[in-house]
Amino acid sequence: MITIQVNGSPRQIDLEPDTPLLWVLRDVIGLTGTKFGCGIAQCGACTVHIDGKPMRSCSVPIGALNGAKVTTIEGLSPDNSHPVQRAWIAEDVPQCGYCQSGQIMAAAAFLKEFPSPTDADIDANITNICRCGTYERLRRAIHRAADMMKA
Amino acid sequence: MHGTHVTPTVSRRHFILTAATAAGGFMIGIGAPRAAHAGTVPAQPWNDDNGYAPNEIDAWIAIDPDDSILIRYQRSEMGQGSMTALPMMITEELQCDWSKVRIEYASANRNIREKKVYGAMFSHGSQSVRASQKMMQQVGASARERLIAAAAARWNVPASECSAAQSVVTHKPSGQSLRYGELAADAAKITLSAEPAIKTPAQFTFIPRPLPRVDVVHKTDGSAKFGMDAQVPGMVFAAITACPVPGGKLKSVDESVLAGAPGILKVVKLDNAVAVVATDTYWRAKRALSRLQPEWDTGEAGKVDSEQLSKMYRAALDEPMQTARNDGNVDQAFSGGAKTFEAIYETPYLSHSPMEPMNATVNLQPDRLDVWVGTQDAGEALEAAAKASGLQPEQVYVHNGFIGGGFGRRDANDEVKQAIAIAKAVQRPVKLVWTREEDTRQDKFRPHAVVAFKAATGPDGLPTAWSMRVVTSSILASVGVKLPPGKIEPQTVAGLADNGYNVPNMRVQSLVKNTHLPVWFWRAPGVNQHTFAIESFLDEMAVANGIDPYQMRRKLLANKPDWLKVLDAAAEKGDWGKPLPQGSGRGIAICTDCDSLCAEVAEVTVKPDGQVKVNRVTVALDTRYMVNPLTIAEQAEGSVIYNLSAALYGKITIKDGAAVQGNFDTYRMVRLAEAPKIDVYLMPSGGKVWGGAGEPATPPIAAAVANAIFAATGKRLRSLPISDHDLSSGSA
Amino acid sequence: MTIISKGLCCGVLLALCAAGTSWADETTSPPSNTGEYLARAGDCVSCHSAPGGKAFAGGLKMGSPLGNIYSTNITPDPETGIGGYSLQDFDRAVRSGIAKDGHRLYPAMPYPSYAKLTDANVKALYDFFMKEVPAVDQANRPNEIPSYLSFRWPLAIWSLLFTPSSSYVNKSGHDADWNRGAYLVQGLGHCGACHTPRGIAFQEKALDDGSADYLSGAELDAWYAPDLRGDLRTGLGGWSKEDIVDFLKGGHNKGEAVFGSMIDVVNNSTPYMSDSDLNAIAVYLKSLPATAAQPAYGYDDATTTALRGGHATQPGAATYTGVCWACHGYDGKGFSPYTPALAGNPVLLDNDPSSLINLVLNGSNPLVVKGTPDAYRMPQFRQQLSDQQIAEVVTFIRNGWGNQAPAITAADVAKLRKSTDPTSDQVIILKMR
Repeated sequence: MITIQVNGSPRQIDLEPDTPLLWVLRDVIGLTGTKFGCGIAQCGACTVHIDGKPMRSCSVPIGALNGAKVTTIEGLSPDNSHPVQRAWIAEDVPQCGYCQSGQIMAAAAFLKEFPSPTDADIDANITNICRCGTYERLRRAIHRAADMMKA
Repeated sequence: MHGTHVTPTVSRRHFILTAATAAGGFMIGIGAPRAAHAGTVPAQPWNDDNGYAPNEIDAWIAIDPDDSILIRYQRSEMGQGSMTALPMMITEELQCDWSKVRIEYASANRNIREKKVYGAMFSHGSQSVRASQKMMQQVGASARERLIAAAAARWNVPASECSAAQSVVTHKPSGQSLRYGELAADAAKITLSAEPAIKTPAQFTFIPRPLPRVDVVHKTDGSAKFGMDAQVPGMVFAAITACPVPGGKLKSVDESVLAGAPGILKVVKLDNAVAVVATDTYWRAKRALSRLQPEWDTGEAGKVDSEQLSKMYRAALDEPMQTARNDGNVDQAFSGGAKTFEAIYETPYLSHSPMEPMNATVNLQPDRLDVWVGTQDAGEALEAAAKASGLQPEQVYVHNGFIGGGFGRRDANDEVKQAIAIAKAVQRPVKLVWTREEDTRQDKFRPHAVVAFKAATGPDGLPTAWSMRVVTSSILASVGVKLPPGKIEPQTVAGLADNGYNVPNMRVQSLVKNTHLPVWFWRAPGVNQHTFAIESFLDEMAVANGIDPYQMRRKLLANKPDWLKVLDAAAEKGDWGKPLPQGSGRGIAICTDCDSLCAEVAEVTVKPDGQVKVNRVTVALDTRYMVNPLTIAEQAEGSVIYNLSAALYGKITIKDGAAVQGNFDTYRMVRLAEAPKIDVYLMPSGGKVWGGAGEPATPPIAAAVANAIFAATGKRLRSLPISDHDLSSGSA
Repeated sequence: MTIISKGLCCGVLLALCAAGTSWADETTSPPSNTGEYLARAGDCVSCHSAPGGKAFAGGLKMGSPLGNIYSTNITPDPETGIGGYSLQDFDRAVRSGIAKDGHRLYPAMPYPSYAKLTDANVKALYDFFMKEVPAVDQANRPNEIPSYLSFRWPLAIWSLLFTPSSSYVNKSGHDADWNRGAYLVQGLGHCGACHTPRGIAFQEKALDDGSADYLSGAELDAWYAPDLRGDLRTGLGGWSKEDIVDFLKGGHNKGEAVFGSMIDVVNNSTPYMSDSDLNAIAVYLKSLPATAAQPAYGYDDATTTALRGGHATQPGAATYTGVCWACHGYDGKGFSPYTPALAGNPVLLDNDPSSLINLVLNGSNPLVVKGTPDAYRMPQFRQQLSDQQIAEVVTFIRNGWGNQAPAITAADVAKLRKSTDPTSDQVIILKMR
């Protein structure tokens, strides 16, 4: 039995310890905002925060998470008020939207370490794939969110 | 500053003024939307049951007493924004308050039961807006006139004395007014003697308008429900692998390795696939599936590889072809001893690779089938599901979700049929999800194509004769559509036969060579690859004849003012002709697609080690008309990135009859660090037809980048992807 | 570990050899010391089967310094296999490298190791192959060795020089576990075939613990088979016996994961061995002294702090946080035992970076432990990362978290990129040097 905290609530998980967190979130807990895109940590659609750090949940075994605090897109803010979410809405970033939970979670964690990011910082750290090609707006939204966080 | 340009206000009057002051007439830039009173859509966009609501005026519109308005949307929202645009068109005619509009998917089941009240439900061919425009306007106008008639009857005044605006009907002479919510019940009972005329674009007051998309909020908090997110009580999870060689069959599979495995419900054998069903997580099913070692019967197809296919296509270039266009006399023009050019261009198979892998969830009961799937065509999905289940179409309910990328892939329904077959075997609701590898390998690919050009140029350096011969495979054959004899498949010559260049002798021909590999519509079918070929070859001629590639195009488009306008805009805004550092170059390309025009300029740097960085792309797009310029601009940006991934890296290689590439580690995508700055200039020119927006910006980028690489390095690329070519400074 | 293996490469090959070659029930272990058990322990199947082919029917292409050779059909088929072999014929092939018709086998067949087998074990193996392995009618493929190199008589001299003449003899002063371990490691397991460096005649420089060369690590064309001696940083000095057993049993332990052709060994061999035999192997390996005095590895969290805070400035750090961190963590500890640690991992600390570069370029092959597929697998980065980026990130991880190993260059990567290019039909998997 593995205990993790998901968006503030403790959860007991009774599954093989090598099960990836992604499927625990989606299929066991029912939090479907975190998406499956590749399963090999390449696309980032499954990005969540584990103890505050961005991780790709498709490649994180729950066996390594006993006691960890997991935040998913559903727990980033109660009302879509996180600066990254507001910036995303203001820039009308999403198209199909499938990758955006992961993009937002990656950006939210990134901005904690890079409060005034350069484009090069963004390039190096935001490596999630978006097939709709929202990159240009996504970049603007990250800068906008950084400004909002400072304001 | 790069990016698109903020329009200071969204009021239409100012909007046009802003547009008019930009260079080249109707050129506008769209930036972030202003805070807007938005229409809304529920996070779960599907209707759970029959598709009825209280207070309906008709199948499209319901107006509640509090004036909130439900508008049904019959197409598919896969990111292109038509879930916002179509209700905007209704709103334009309905004269209602957009902030009180909420939107839901129209029911494909109701469409069956009510004699196709919603018409065609598909989203492809960039048709959602342009093919629905008259219908949407008519729906809005009719409802408006019925509301007005209801008010007129209430007041006992002629309807002609009443007018509607912002969800209120007013009788000016008496100063009376009634809200839509107060009139809806009466309006529902009114039948108009004749359908009212719809507005001409000049009469529009609400559109075009850059509004935030209605689904944006749900797509930032994880609540937007995609097909993948469907949850049905009692649902089990299935993973599947189909024969890696298309057309092959399952010979045998030893399922005993899974005997007694915890949580495994069943191994389901299909004609050409094997699936594993798990009770608790998809992961369990996926992992168990990887323990099976199915044997396939692949026949001769199992021996095919890319090299053979390429040879076969190239060899067929000399075979007799069908002629799509034949101006003047090409052969005679060649015989005159003119300067001639010849080259062969080749483009590979591609996967669509939407972010959301293919999936379908089904609940099959004796007298009812529910299907949750992100589909580009809920109507087709319903028909396919009915057929696969043996139920009547009226018994099938398709719940379309938000779609995690379509690009043409999501209307073949193969995943729906598989899910139904599995559900039959396990007698439980089933969620079937493809792995990423399965999504790539079981795709129906963008066709492979080979184009042979021959052209002659005159003393002024411009082409006088031009022959284009194509060998590719037939998408329609994969779909199962048979063309009448003598009819040429449009996709095979799209981007070539419809080129805008004024060349007196021009002949465009094609030949279809089908293989065991299914091919399918891929964002801007045909045009996406042929534009690379024709626009690169034109560049070859321009350079060889000492003519600036942009000026060459100008001369050949001299009698096409609309083409010239986008070409000039792209060149001007893309800084054509301005100096660049060593190792950098600009390229230009233009095309028509879906009745729109698009020109693009790419600015590229090739590093000494051969790595290509596309720094900046300028897009000039003429969609003729616009509903929501914001989503159009987004589509242009997305189109550029989509085909840039393909141009730089995209190639499905065939070995032993099967696709080699699987996950994103072997099928590379452009990421943020590689994404160019993109400037989009929208310049609708009006006219008789509406152009599409989702695809037309896709094709030019490949040629624009390849031409820029030539400008930077002197290396002419006649095949894609670019990553196949050694562009390092020491290479030949 | 086999000298030649079907494992290395990527793309289709990788898919083809997924899940190993199944034979009999792949989820259970055969009873100890039966012929089947011994065949498992000797991992005969990994070489004597082609990807997608039938078990023991041969046909695996192997590179050798002379040219390509193909493993042979060792099923009891009378025409194409060894159905006509007597016990004596079989014994001569296994322990002396001489086929029934008298021709000398290329030492791709590790008969210098198998020479140490006991008579009883050879008999058990013979009985297994004759009675339990299904006959497969599959003709052997001719080797692709140029005729001017194809004389086999020098092999006789080679054999004479490098093949021991008798079975393993228990060494006094060591307990039964140690001796059992020595027997398995030196004999059936033929570990030295990969892990012992080779001399100028391609012979293993040592066949037992009498020499410090034995199992001291060897380059194997595009891979480096690690040092299995007691070296603290680059060998097994930092591993406990349990770590060794865990690794052989499941392909993973506290911080390491199996890679390269050793994956075939785990897919087909070691997990089927008994706990006592695995323990014996561990006892024996742990007895091999270090070849060099190395300071023990110590974890340093400066790298972790820098990566977490986004201020690691070394070249390669950006690639790490963009790509590698997702599975190996900011702390370089991976999600042990599911994904390997980079911190303190002997593979990173060794001077020879071949395996590291190869893994980054081509990813890892599927690991299937007694029928259970791996949960996490290294993807390939050949397409996404340039030679320079790979050189930088590999250098970065070789010197992060207290690791210390020489920098590598883009040229090192370019060389391996070329020699392991999955699109080339010239790929040769694991040549003998």
